[in-house]
Amino acid sequence: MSKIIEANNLTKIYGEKETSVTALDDINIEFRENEFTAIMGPSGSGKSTLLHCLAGLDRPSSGKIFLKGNDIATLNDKELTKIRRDSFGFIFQAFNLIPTLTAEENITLPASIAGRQPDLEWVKEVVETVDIADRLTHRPNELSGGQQQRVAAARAMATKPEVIFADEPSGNLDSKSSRELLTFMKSVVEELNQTIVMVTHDPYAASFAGRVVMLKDGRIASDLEKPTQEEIVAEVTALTNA
Amino acid sequence: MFGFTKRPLFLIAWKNLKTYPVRIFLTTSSIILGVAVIIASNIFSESNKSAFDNLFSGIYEGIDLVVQPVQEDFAQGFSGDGGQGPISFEVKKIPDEKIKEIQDLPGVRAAWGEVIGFAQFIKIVDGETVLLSNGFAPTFGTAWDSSEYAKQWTLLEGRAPLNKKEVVMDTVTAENFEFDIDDKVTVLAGATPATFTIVGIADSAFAAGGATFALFEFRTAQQLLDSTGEVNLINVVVEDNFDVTDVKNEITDIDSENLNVINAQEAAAEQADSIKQGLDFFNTILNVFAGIAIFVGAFIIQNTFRILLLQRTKELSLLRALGTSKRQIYRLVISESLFMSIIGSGLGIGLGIGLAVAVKEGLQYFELGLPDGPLVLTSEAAITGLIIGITVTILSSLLPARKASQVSPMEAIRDSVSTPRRKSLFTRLVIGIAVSSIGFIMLFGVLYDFLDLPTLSGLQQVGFGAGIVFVGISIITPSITKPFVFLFDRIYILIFGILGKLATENSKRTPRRTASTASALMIGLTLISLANVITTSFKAQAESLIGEVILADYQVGAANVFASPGIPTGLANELMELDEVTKLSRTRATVVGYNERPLILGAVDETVFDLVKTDDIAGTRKDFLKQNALGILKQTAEREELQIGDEVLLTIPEEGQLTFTVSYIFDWTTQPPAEFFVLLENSSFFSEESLDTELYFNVNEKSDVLEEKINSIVAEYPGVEIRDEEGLVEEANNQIQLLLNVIYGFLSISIFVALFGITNTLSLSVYERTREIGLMRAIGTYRKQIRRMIFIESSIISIFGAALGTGLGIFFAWSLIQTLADDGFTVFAVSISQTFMWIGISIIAGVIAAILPAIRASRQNILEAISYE
Ligand SMILES: Nc1ncnc2c1ncn2[C@@H]1O[C@H](COP(=O)(O)OP(=O)(O)O)[C@@H](O)[C@H]1O
Ligand SMILES: [Mg+2]
Repeated sequence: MSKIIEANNLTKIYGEKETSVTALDDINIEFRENEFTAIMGPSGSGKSTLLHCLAGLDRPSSGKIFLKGNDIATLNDKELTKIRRDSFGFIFQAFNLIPTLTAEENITLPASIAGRQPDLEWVKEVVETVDIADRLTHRPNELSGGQQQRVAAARAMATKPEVIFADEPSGNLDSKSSRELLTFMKSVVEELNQTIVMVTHDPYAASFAGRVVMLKDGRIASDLEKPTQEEIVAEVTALTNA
Repeated sequence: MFGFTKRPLFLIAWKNLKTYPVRIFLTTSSIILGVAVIIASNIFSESNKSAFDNLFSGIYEGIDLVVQPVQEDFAQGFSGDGGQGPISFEVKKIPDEKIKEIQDLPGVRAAWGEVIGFAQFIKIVDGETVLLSNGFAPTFGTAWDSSEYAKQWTLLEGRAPLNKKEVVMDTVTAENFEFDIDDKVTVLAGATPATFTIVGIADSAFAAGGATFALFEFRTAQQLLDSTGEVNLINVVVEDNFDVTDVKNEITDIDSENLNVINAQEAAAEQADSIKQGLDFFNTILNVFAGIAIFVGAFIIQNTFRILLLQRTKELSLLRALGTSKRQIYRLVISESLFMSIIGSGLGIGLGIGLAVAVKEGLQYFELGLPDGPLVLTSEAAITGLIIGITVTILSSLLPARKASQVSPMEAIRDSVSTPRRKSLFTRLVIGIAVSSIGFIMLFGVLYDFLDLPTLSGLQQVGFGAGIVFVGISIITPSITKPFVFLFDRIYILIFGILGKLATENSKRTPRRTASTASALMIGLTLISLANVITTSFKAQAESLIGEVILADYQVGAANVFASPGIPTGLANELMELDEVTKLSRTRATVVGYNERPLILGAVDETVFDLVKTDDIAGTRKDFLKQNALGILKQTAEREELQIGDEVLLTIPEEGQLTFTVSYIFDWTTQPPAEFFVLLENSSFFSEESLDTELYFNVNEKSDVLEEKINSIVAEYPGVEIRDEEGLVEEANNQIQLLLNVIYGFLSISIFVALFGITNTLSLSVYERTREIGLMRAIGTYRKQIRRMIFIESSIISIFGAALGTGLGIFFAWSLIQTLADDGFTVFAVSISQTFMWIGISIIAGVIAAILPAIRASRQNILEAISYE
């Protein structure tokens, strides 16, 4: 499997000298095509920061980030925005949708702002996969939390991005909705050949992923391939006590 | 420093303001502007008042009494009362001998004559005659002061004129047209121009208004200004130990029938007073505009306060949670508004002073000479400005303060800035419809004659009705925001795609806010389009009138009726010799005596009835061709009770008495040149030297070549001007447009104020959508696109306000013109180009207002927007 996104010596320091916080400390990591990776770690370990840097939402203090071999850490705002629009998809923990737009308009929003006609065949397939076909004309406030997150997931996929970034996507959902969303995300990787990088602190959510990366104090503590939920829990406990 | 330290809320209020200077500026911008206009107009009129005081005391400086000839009522036209109708050219004067007589009276220290007439400086530039004048001000010729007591003129350079070939020029004219001592200058006084040498440059209070003055040696002045052996008035200085009133009576006794003696100092005060009244009127108009700005301002202050307080919901609710009472919050907000209003009004006064200085400089630059003098700011004006500014600001903050005080302590803990759901707009709609219906009924009641309220004139009823309609529509606007934006939806989405959709959705999201922001703009646009339609209609009316009544291709007349008594007859002859001239009519006029009173007798060619629109009242133009036939104006016939066949005895100068028979009564539809008319052919008593007052003529075919030819002929006669129909229409239009531009200038202040409202609303809208905008940026929206979205949103607000205002203004103007139909206003015309120009200006203003919020939105930190704690 080929590498899609890769971070070399990635460091992120917030604040000035005395009060500075090193959120990411010289991280080297790569994500491969068609892989579902969960990033875990205690609160404050740098999960979100890593995701933001990889996704071009934040700039690293030093180090490089390659998207299919091209360094994106040095791009200007406009170029970076274009990459987010065309190559990345996003699912956030909350407030994923524009309240004034219908579900359908939200899903096709990235295409619309690019001034492109969305690939309707593909959108239809995605919509059916996330099972919100009957909710397309509704506005976000008429949808349940789970439905909103699934619409967000559909939006993230609608442009066939290289990578989908998700930050605690199921963090606000009840267990049933949570399971539905994660199942869907997993099937997206397996059936529709997508690549997902997901931040979570929940071992159950992480168990849907094929790879789990543990962070601690801004460094990679472990990198597990196909762990079971028990293995994950054990690792988290070990990390927390260490 | 403030002694408020024992009162923590005042401290918080003060700190808040110190921390957010921009906030003060945004909130009080409208107050600053309104107060500034009040102050500026006040300074302006006060300063001019004191300048006019100085001017008139300057004119009468050192003089105790002024002796004037008693004028016939009929000649008033000349002395400035400017009544309608033909003006008499005969002004009574005082014979020279009277000066001596007065001088010899006991108690008279000095008496000297003054000669005033019309004289025009002329410059020949590249073979063309240019009449030199300062704007619209008149051009005078007068005698150089002949007494050592005279203080009216001060020589700045050179010396007094001593002979027939010398002249002194006023300094403003000399400066403007670059004349110096020893230069030659041509002066047109009477019919023939003559050349003089400038021997002096002088200044006087007389020249302060911009009039040009040519000062001649005394005898020369008398000769040139048609006053040989006569003077226009006599100035008298009374001996110190004599009573002015006694001397006044003595002089009157010399010839009480022909002499009128006035006390110079009283006259100075009186004349200054009458001008001051005019200035007061102007001041009132300016204050009305300031009032409009402040009214719009009140809307905006209220809006801004609500917005600012909404942004501080968390802070306020924290205060509440910490145990601050509702009442204290209320007071906190009010004291903030008090600080703001003081600062705002203060800035307004400062800006007003600046504005007054700028206006003064501007007027001086354009040479619309108002008398010089220092700028005066009265303490009353300053206090009025301060009080208005403070009161309006505090009143406007009452409601928002109340709302703010009701914030729940829980709000601080919740994470949301969303506005609570408000009452439905339905009640508002019903009230608005009810109110505007009342207005419509009042208005249409007059137009369609079904309702006539007692004590109100038709015009007043329409005016009040329009006002009530306006209030009603203002109440309705929030309810019609959605349908209005809906109309635009499709178009905006077609043009701007998803950004258009987002922008229109946002405007619909807060209809109240969109509407109240648009209302501020609506007020200005209503007045602007009202002014636009009214003046456009007047223009169209004038155009159709001129087209109706002037049948001639060209009209020739004096360029400045005061400077030249008429047109040398050679011009008519030269024109008639042209093959292209098909028809020409001459008009001459002279003063004749009728029933012991002076009247103007005109002599015309028969062709005048083809070239000027006249309506037969009795008799026909055929009857007018007979010997001794007299044509008379309809209104003169009515006044003098004359009928066809009546005999009329006229006393004609240098001819004696002649009897005429009234044979034709007609209506002269433009300004008539005389009251009685005879045929020029039949009137040997109009000698060949006499001057034509007006020429009308037609040509076989208008062309540029012909026009050039005619112009070159006319150019040989200085002081004569040729106009064609277009020229007349243009002249009328220019005057109307000038007035309109002044009104536009003032009303644009209200647009300017509305602009701040748009900025505030958009800022809030951006603030409320922090997350939304962050999300859009995260998923790949360019900064440029975010900015565009805000611009689009702003354009919706401004189009909404402009469309409503324009619609209302046009409707009000239509109603007004309908009401005035009985007074002869029949034309309703809308200038489409100006209408769209103002809508365009509103949209541009809206976009300008959106610049700051748009930049802020596009710079928003993405991570802050999407982070969730
Ligand atoms: N904008 C910021 N400014 C300063 N410090 C920050 C900022 N964002 C995150 N941090 C700090 O960086 C570290 C990592 O944060 P984050 O990536 O949010 O951790 P996680 O998502 O794993 O909880 C924490 O110590 C946090 O306090
Ligand atoms: Mg996090």
